[in-house]
Amino acid sequence: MFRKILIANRGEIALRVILACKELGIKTVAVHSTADVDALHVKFADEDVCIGPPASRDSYLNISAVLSAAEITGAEAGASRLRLPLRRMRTLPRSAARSD
Amino acid sequence: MDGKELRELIDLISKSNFVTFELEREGFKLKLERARQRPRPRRSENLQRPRTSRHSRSLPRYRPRGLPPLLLRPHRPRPGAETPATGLVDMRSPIVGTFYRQPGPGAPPFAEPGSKVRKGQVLCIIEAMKLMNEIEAEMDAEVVEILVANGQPVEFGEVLFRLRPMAS
Repeated sequence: MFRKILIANRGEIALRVILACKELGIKTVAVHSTADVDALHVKFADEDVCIGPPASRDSYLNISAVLSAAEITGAEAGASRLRLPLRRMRTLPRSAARSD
Repeated sequence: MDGKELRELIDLISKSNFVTFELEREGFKLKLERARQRPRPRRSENLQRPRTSRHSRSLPRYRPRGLPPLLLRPHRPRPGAETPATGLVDMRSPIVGTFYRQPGPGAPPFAEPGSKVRKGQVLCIIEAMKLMNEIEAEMDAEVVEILVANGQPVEFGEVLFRLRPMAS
């Protein structure tokens, strides 16, 4: 079981993931753009990282920003509906191990 | 039939199970009809069929047992949210990553509080995705304050330096 995961999503979906994580006892990291600082998923998650300007291309869809957020918070896995980041997320434990 | 009788009759009918009731007399006709309860919309086959997936056999299906208390975190103070003193310019992080003040372990830092930097001079490194991103000064300036410690993670838009611009 993961201890902490990063949720590469926002809105209702992110809240749903947070809810499930709370029940399973997994810590959550929310990511948000500068426009979503006050969004609910940011308030309900255990940690949050601002990953970019309002345009989602520069924040939520910016793979390196999302992965860096996972790296600096020590998240072990990612929850995402975006196929590309998810595929990259699978390599996260390996890259994290390399940085240790 | 007067009003009282009529009221009693309607009262009686409404308590019974009749769906329609008709009464006809000389010069008088009464018809009562109960509004039918709408039949419940039937669920479509797709909705009723239990969902099966690859994982359902090995993993117990997630069923929320009521809402766990979701506690709102107190608002975290945003770094650099307070306005800088007049004449100072915030230099914010353009990316998410790990902040480094020096080019390498053991090397002297790029800038100290009080040092003067020229436009284009490297002020710090932010490591993201194993890449060392050199962050340059956008103007000739004097470093007034460094708000982030070496090796500390920074998020997008976090204030790294406070600079006092200098006329070049």
